[in-house]
Amino acid sequence: MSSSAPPEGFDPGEDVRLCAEADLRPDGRFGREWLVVGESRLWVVSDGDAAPSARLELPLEELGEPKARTLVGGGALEVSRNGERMELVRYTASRSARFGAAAQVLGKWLEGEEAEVPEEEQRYCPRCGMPLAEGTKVCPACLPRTRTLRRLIGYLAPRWKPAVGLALMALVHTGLGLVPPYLQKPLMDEVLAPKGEQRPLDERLRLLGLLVLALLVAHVLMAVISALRNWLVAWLGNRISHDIRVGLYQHLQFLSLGFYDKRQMGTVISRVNQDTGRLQEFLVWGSQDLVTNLLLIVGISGMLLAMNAKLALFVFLPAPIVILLSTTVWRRIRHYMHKFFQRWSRLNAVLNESLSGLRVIKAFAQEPRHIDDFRTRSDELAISGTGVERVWSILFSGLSLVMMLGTLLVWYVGGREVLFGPMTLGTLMVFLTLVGMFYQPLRFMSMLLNWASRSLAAAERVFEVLDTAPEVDEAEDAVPMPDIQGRVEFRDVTFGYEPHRPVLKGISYEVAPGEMIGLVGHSGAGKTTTINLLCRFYDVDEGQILIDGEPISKIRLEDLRQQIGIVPQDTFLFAATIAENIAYAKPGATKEEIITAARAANAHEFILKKPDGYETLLGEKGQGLSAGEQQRLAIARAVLHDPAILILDEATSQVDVETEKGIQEAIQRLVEGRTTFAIAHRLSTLKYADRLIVLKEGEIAEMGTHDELLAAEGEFHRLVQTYQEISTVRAVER
Amino acid sequence: MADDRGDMQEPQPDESPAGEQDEGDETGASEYSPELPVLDAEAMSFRQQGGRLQVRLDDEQEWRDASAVRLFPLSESDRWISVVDEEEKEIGLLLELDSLGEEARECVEAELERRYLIPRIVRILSCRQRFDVMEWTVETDRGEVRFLMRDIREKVKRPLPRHVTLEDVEGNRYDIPDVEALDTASRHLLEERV
Repeated sequence: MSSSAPPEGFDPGEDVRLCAEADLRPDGRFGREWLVVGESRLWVVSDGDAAPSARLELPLEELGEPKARTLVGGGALEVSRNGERMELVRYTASRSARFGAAAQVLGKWLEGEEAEVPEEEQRYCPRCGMPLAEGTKVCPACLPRTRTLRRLIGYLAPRWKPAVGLALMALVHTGLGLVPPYLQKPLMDEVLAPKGEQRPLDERLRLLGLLVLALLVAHVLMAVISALRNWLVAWLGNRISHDIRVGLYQHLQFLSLGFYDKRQMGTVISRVNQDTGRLQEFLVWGSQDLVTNLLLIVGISGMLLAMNAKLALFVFLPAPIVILLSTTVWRRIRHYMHKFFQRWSRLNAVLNESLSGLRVIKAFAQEPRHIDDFRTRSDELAISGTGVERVWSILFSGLSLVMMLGTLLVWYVGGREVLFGPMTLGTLMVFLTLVGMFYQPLRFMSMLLNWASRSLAAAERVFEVLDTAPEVDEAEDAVPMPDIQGRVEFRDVTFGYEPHRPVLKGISYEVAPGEMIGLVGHSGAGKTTTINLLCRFYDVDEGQILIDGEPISKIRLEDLRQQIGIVPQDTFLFAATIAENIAYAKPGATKEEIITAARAANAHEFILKKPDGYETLLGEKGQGLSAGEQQRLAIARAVLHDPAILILDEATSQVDVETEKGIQEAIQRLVEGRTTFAIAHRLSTLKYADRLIVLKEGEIAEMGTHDELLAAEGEFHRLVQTYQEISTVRAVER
Repeated sequence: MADDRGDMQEPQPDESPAGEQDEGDETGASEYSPELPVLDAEAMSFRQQGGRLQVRLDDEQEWRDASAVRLFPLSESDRWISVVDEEEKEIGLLLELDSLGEEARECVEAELERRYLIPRIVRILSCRQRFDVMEWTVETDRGEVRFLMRDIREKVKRPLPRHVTLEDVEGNRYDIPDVEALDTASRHLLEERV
């Protein structure tokens, strides 16, 4: 989609270090421009009518402060030239990431630093140019279908016996399906309306009985096989999708947080739910329909050709029309169905929103508005629903008519053959039945093929996750560390969630065992990132973090996590009892241990007031508890976990003074004797910390004790002042 | 990332239009006044310099890198314009572009034109579906363009009853300010697909 080389026909006359293609012209219309940076100059090259030529040519030494400014629907790259800001190029959102990176690199160059031009992210399939879905490299158009199919079949391998049985049953069932029409021939020609010489009546009667009996047997067999087959297919499909689903979930648990950062949780959930669901649906129903339909088409075509090749051709004549028509029918129907479901979900959204906001609606007396809104949506749905049925009925009637044309052709041509030719009435009847059976599968083929290809795409998306390696890998020579003392050292740590955008820049400090560190700074200063790195949710880009002198990348992950405890900002409670939630990190904890932990966390008192005490069942995300109660449960959880290194991400939600005091006490007890990193929002916590580290834009601005920093009247002093002002106001408001 | 809502904020020296220097924080309780900060068109002068909007107020204050923001970009494109400084802090409001002199108006319009890059669809030329991707070719006020959409259900929005926005796979937005104003063929394509 883009080139990192300057356009042909433009010769800068020196080495090009960076080239980025923009997709807007200075007048805001779509067009191509290039930003070209050489050793000493910068050009903006326009794609003119003739050859590309430089619209701007600027010496680098006059430029400074390049910035990718975000505009509405795109952006612009700006620089300062002799103190004045100027715009270089404009681009749409498609090129924003590229120019953001370009501005970064250019900024470094202009300050005389070294920087590498980052590679462009691949967002289009290199083979066919189709866009890739977010967070995936699978192109739906050029999937290696056979590979995916083979891998899916791989899941069948351990259950090959039922699978083979299934295939056999499909074959037999299809074969049996052709028996009844075939029996029609003797029924007609020998028994009911024989052409030429006739058998005696009693013999015909006996034959009739035999044939009907044979028909009965065929149908009974078919029913039995069909029941067996459906059951077996359902079993097999469910087993396979169970295997895939569990494998996927297991893998998801071990993927690093970096994987989730790049994707929306919704898409990950839909991989587990929808994609595996779609796979199962197809494995259970689609695959067998596909196989039987194919077999039927082949079998019937064979029989028709064998009986009367000429007549068979008349049957095949409307077949392409049926296929073509049914393809368009399905496509149309799909559109209408989409619309219909979309309106359903919109109606649901309206319902959901207005019912959950009922209090507000009533308070502002806006009921009529919402009733109107609902009526409109419901009306739309009704119209759309009628539309679907209308299209459905019209298109299907049309389709049936076309298929009927084939039957009519057979009636006419076959009828003539019976009247004037050698053809018997029986053969004609068989033909007619087979024709009906022949068009049926044709109708579904296009839908089934579509279904199959989408299921394969779903399978491929699932496999893609399964193939993602956990980013934080345990070193092969990982050291077991069952007893951590708690000495922590940050040594020149640099890290960014995206390369080229470091969040922490060369951080170094040492923490003694049992020391409490308060991390202070604005949002985005790097506090949370520090903690993420310490827990090894991510690996550092440069430098090292050492615990007891051992780099954390060398410590067994299990040991590391076992001895780091977190009291997170937002307490996450599972839908289980209070006791189970406290004992989350230590499933085998005794009742004594749980109560002791709860008491240490000042949670015991509120718990005993609950009717079910420690066995009070919590709703999802701790429903039924106040914010203060949730925080205390989180503390109790950490107490029971008894980590050597404690991470305290202080909650910011406001609780009343009494509760606050209780929480503070609990935290004091928890911190005792542990190396603690606290992201502090409360002044009291800051006072208790042995040392404070003030972070600013990823660097350490100040470090020292609370009193030292206050006396220094620097960054920390300013922060505290603001904070005090706000809390005075809050105290008064209470 | 956990967001750090309750974070303490650094007090920032503020530059209010009146030029007073007080010590309020960014939420600026001291700066608040119930009246809208409507700018007096007479007292303002606007200039375009090197693609930058420059604003002078009463010949006393000057902003060399100002910009203009639409408060109601969809329904009121030339009313309710906020003039902001380079930090996107509001200098004041322009209620109507028409109240400005012709030259000033052109300057502000040029800035709006620069800031709002979202193309408006004038005509839909074609729409094809390939797998889960929809390929659109449209004529916009910025020229003809081809773009690809996925997740149609989420990426088509109707912020106003007749205003439809489409978002492509790269995050670009394309606006149809008034569906009824499209020609029949375009409208038909749109209705059928989304």
